[in-house]
Amino acid sequence: MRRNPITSGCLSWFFAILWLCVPNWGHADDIVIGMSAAFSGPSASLGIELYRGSMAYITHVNSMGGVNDRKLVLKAYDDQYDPVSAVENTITLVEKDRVFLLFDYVGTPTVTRVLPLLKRYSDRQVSLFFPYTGAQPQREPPYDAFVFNLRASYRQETEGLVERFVQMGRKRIAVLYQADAYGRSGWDGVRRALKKYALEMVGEATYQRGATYAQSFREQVDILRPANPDAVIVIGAYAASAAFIRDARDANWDLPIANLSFVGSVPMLQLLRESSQTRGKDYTANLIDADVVPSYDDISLPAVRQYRELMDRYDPRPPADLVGEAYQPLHYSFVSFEGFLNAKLLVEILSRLGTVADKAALPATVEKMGDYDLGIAAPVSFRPDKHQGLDTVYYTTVQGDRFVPISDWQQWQR
Amino acid sequence: MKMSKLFYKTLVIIVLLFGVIATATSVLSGWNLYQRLTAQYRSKGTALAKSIADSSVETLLNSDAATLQAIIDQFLEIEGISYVFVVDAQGAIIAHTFVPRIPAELFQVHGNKHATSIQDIHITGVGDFIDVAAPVLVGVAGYVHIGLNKETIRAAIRSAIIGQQSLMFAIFLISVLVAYLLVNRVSQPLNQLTAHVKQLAVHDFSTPVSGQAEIARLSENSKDEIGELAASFLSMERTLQHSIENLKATTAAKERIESELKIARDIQMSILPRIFPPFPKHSEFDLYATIEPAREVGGDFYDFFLIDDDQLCFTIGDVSGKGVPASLFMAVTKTLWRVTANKYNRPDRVLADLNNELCRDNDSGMFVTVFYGILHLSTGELEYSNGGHNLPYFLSRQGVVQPLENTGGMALGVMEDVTYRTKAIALRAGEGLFLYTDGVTEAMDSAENLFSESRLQACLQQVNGVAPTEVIRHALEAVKQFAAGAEQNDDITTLAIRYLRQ
Repeated sequence: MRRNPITSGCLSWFFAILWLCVPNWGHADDIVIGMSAAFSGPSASLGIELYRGSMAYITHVNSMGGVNDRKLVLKAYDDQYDPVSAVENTITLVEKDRVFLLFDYVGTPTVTRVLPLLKRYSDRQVSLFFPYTGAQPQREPPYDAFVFNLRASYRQETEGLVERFVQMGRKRIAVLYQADAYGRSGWDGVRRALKKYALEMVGEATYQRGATYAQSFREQVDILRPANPDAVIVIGAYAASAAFIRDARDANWDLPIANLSFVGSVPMLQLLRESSQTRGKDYTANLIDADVVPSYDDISLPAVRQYRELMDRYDPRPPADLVGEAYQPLHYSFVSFEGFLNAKLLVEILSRLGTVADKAALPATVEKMGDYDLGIAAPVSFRPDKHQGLDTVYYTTVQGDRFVPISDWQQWQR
Repeated sequence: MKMSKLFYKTLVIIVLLFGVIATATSVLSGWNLYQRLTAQYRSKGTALAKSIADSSVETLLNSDAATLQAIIDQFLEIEGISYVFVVDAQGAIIAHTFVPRIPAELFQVHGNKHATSIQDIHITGVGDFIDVAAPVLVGVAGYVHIGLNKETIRAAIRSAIIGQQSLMFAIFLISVLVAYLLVNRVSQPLNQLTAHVKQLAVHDFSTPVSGQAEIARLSENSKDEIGELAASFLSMERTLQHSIENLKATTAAKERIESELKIARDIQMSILPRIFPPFPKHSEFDLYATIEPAREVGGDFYDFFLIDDDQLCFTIGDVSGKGVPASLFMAVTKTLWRVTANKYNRPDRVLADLNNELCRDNDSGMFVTVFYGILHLSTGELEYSNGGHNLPYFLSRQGVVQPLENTGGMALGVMEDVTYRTKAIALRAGEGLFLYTDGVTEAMDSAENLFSESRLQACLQQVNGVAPTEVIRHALEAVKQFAAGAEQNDDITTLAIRYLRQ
């Protein structure tokens, strides 16, 4: 039988278009993992950079033939750092997209609200891997069973910060925190850490989640300053933290201000550096950041070298349907480095899971990893009662145009 | 257009009424709503506080602040809830939703261990709240506080009242419109009627009144009081028109009759001798007479003539009744008297014959009183006979005034074959007679007192020895003064004779 060449051409076009149109058509044996994070709004940079870091490694793995000959597909939705959207996105990912697991979620209020949903889906054995939050709920019963964390907790971050401030004689600690579960988590961490030294926080103030850099934080400055603190720990997102730092410095209040890992130090620094330039004032002095991954400048670490190489090679774009062209990706950042490490560890776990890819075997596989070397000079290990891979907290401060590891805490001695 | 007065009054009433209703309903429903919403908010707050308290026992005991925060954050999405905060067993606030800080007032709010407690609190610069505190594990684990903003209640009340008042205002506008239309429907025909009636007042009815057609249409179209009023106006108008036409006809007829009566009066007067002195050649007597009918024509009469050179006969009479019938009877009587007086030389004979003549064919039943006298000029002897008339007064030379002796005859024309008698009296020079009809003595003043014989007699006594003209003038003047403008209701006739023979 002879085919009309035009007909067969049309048919192939038709199938090609159909293939493009149907979402997640992919190959039947692709491993689809789901992500819900802020891709728009004041915390957009966190979701986007986390996604880019992960995609750098996933693209690399897929180009090498995938995991156990299966392609890894990261399906992402935007929740704008809003708990309700995060819950809806999770339902979509689990029920419609039927993802293998959840990955790279961003934020404490969002993840905290998703946790009961994971319990609800326990019969589907949906686990959340490496959420970008150090909050306590997913590290403790009953939800720790459904979540695997890579990063250290906020409690560890705040504890470390408080410990160092107290050592430097800065015992009067004030806290500015986001009025939600994330802020509360950090606030609680500071409170607990101070308790060990029989101290109490000398002042506290809150701000509304979603605050932008344009917003004034003068009120919060005016609340905290009369308490005469020696240092302020900010449990916030980068736009709000930057705004607070700006208004504090504008009020000639130059005490050390510390941020947690969640803040996204690179985008925060970017905002402050822009203001420094336009106003001719240095807003970047006396800043301390707690981080849960090593500095992406430390090229002595194999993981950093690979991260830089893959980021340079692929320069992953954020999902076009979620992020407009206006977004300027950060070249390297702590966030994308964390995303990279998340993806690297996940690929390792999936490859250990084997070709059958049985969800039920996932927790056991993770817990049996032993001390795994991710290439950051800190072994990753999980246990059935410890679903957190890393415990190291790194401290950085601004030097020049970037955050670098703190070599000398004495500068904050008083 | 000028506002109808009826509408203006209605509008004022509507405005007052609606003002009262609007105020009353606003106050009532505002108060009701406040009570209901407050109660509702309190129970809502109680339920929510309890539910948070119940669900956070474990979390509180675990001191899991982040999860607690996640729990209470969800409740902020519920309408009316302004804040939630959780106090732990040590009394420290370990989770709250305040930005940028916890208001100082809330540190003073304490819960009750055994029940949810509700307090009204005021937060400076923020507003009024209802604080509901629920104990967790009988207060051992802490307390959950929920703040409900009273402004939400106030806003609900405001919007409800605004909605209600908008509705009231709409109803008010519709009512005014309806009232305007209704009042207009009533007042417009009323105005039309009023204008028409005003026009009627100055109308002379020589031509039909304009606008009658519209009023007629009104009476047909409106089957209500207005219609009836219009119909009444119309009927009144027609009656008025009819009466005025009648009046005009009657007036014309009357005018015609009056002019005829005037002619009749002229004729009647012309049959009475009216030239005085009547006999200038005779110096033996002086005679004067007047007649003043109460109407155009009357039933009184007088007459006199010289039978011969020595005998002057004279008469005065009064027909029963007045007006035209009396005047015709008088004419007949006077004419027959002339004939009869010439036929006989004795007064009783004259009256008897005249009586018989008058009785013949007297179907009208009228009668006449007559006094008849013959004066012998050479001797002064007076023969007379009376047929039911007022007796004349004898005016003596000594100033004595007295009636003549009666001859006793009855009025003429009543029955036939009546006998009369003659009597005689001798007049001396200067003496005379005054004859009159009852119109003189029965003249009335406004109080209906009669002039009477006594007044006449007194009056005559004052004028002794004067000419008949003066006697009559004096007597009539007295009557006129007595009546003092009262209407004359009977013919007044007088005749005076004065014997002058030396």
